[in-house]
Amino acid sequence: CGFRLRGPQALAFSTIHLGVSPVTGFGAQLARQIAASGTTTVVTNPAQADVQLQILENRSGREILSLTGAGKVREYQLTRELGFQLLDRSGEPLIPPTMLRTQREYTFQDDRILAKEQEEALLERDMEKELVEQLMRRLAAVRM
Amino acid sequence: PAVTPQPAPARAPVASPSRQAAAAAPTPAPSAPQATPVPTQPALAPAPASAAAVVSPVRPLDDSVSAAPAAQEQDASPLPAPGTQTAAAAPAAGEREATQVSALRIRGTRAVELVADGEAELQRGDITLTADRLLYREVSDEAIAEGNVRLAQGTDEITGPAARIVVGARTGEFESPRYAITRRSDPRAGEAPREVTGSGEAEGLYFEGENQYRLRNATWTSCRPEDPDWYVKARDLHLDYDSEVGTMRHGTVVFKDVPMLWVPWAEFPLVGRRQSGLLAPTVGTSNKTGLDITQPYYWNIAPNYDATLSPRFMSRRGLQLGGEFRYLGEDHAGELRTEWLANDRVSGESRSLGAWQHQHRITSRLYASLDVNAVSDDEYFEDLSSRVSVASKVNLLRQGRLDYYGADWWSASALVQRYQTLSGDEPYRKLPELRLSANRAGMAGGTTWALESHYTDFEHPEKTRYVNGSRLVLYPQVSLPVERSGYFIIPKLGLHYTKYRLDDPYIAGGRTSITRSVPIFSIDSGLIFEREASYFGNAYQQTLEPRVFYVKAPDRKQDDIPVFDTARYDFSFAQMFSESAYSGSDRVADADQITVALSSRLIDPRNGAERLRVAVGQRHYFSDQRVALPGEPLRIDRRTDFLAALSGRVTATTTLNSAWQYNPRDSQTERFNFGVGWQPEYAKAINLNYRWTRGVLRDIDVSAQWPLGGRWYGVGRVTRSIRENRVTEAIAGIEYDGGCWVFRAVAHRFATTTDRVTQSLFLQLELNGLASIGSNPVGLLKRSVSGYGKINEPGSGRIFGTD
Repeated sequence: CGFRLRGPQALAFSTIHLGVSPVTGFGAQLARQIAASGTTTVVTNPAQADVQLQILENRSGREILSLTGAGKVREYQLTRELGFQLLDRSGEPLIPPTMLRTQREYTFQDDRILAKEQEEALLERDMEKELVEQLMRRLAAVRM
Repeated sequence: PAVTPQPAPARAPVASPSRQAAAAAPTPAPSAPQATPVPTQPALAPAPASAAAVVSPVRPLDDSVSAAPAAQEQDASPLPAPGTQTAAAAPAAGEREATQVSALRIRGTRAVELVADGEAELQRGDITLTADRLLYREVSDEAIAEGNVRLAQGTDEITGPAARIVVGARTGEFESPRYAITRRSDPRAGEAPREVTGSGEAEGLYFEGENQYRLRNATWTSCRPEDPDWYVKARDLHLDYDSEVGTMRHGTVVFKDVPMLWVPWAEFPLVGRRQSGLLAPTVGTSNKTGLDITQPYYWNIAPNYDATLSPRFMSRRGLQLGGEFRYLGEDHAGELRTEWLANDRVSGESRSLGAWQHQHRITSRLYASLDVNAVSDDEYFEDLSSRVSVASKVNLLRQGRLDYYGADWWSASALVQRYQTLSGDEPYRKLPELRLSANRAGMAGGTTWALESHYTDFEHPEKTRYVNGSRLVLYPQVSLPVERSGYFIIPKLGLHYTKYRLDDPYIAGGRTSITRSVPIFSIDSGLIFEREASYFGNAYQQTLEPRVFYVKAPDRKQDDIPVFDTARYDFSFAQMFSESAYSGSDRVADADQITVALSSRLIDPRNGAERLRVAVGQRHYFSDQRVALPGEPLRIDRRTDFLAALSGRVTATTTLNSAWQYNPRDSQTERFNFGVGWQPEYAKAINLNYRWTRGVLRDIDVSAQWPLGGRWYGVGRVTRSIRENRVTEAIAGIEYDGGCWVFRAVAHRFATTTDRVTQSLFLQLELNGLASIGSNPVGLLKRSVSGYGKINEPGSGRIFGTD
């Protein structure tokens, strides 16, 4: 039905500067993914980079999704938003300011808060992974 | 001197060397009674210090006029138009543009003063001063204008009967002016710029340098200048367009000709930036507090410090003082919040709240954070808060944390944590918890080595009911990942080692120490297929991604291990691909199971945006469950429920989000959520959500913001528990956009206990530009109604493309 195995995903630029700390989970994952593309290197000096990834927003939030009849939280929704733009050497945007959003839901019980904290951490990592994937697809679509 | 008036005087700028010694060159001799005046003896300034200085930045109409002073001395310049009188002066070294004066009649004395009479106009750079009569003194660079004076600079305009201005220095005064000054904010990347026009009238306006205006007995408004709906009236008003701050003394806020508020002194933002000032007050009533009035004051102490003081009057309970202080340093940031009600007239007690969040970068690798929250009593939020997000809170965090990032492959952390619990049992305290995590790829043979380890000292105040003790977990893992763009396969082997040391004999036999070792093997693998596809006339890149995850872990007897921090995960895609069914380390699930999932995405090939994602998954067990939490029934099935999800932005304005959990053994749905959101434009959104979980909940949730016609907007949300036949939360609001002000009325009702609700009503009048930061009802609406847009802030939240 027309499906074929995905081929190499070379990025259109050979060097990139990431405006996100490489020691954070997100930054490290992104740097690994870019390195895995094989043809693009992450540089620490923005002046040497063909393109610059600027992180404009990096927000995580938790909203109540539903309450119990007793007015306590039954479900939470986690959201993670990442706003970014990609600039070329002259500072012109290759990708204009763009917001990536992802969300997860989980049931909450106050008497299991320690376990739920860890469940939240699992979902945070899952969302982070999804954001990296989404961002990589955006970067792969850039033509220079 | 009679000169034939000409309706449209043309201009011929003349360059001359310095501003102070600028030549005001009355082109024709004032005394020459000629029908066609010819310039004679043009007055010239002293020769320029350097020849280059004579070149005017303004391109002259006629080169020969301004080419060199000599040319003028020779009177070689042809006139641009007969009967026109023009004069110009320009400074030296190109530091300032040439000054041009034109009028129906011009006369004057060389290098002293120039009198322009009738439709007089003085222009320099982007400044244009027009008046019936204009006197320009070159030496002092002073212009005195009378009759229909109009000073225009860019989009700014000041008009009045008389003015005196030092043109270059921008000092001087204006008599009885009307003014309109427009400035655009300098937005951060990804933010829309805002343009605010401040206008008004005054008895006197004093120029105090470029961008500095002081006004006496003046008004200011962000409304349109003619017949503003609201304005501030101040005895003394200072507009500082460098720092974009307005300062008023003895100011009164007048709305619809009714004086509403008097302040001895206040600052307000001129371009809608964060600026000290009174924020829009909130007037409300609630069944818990009675009449409820909050008047926040925002204090922009410094660029990196600010505070909001919120005195709150509650007719039933008394006066509460609230404050929030935020700070931002080069290596730290934080927020302090406090509320204090000295004497609650209902309970007769003093009630208070305190919260402190602080993040600190000690070195580039070492970070510290503090999150401490406390309230004086268990009913605090229920009684005093009108916000569901805090009223529903049971546990308040108190935590200190240190994080060390050794490299991009290892990190360590230490934390102490406890909670203030407002109802029910308090959770275990972690005093402390130490963690060490490492994940290093590219080791010998292409392997990746990882270590998860943590040591926690669990403590509970109720020692008779809860056993205290410590736990050490070491989980070293080695994997051999093979990852290509089209497929991946990651075999992994790990040993999960745990050691407990308990304060009291908890286990039969009186032992206080337990050790548990569980080897865990897993293989995660997946394929990624792609094709070009077309749906509904749009071209997409479609992926098809099968994924298979196998886990094997032997059964270890764990019934005698206490439960400190462990519970079963929700059934979800994230959980299906994790090794254990438990969050927390007190149980390591026995496993011989395979998870199969298939997902497909539609990707916009132009920009890589994910439009739609569909996924299905299920887990198969090859053995029965042996490990369980106390009281947890053992699984009798070999298959888990079937999980399906569909989500995405299906059109530019429609988002879909749904999940379905199906139990094939009993042929019944266990959980079903469906959500759809439609947002055709800013501040126009409808959301519908249905959430159903067997035996637990069945909620329907509708929220919307919609223009009602005219300048009215409606906003609301209803969450109804069909199972309990009860509305758990309802919000209804109307907003009116008055152009330069907004009125909101918001009613809010939510359940606080099984039979009690909190009901409140808030009224708010927001004067655009005077108070720029959202307050209570806006925050509530933003949280509750997905897609809510503040109607008087059309720029915000719109700049990010969501495609």
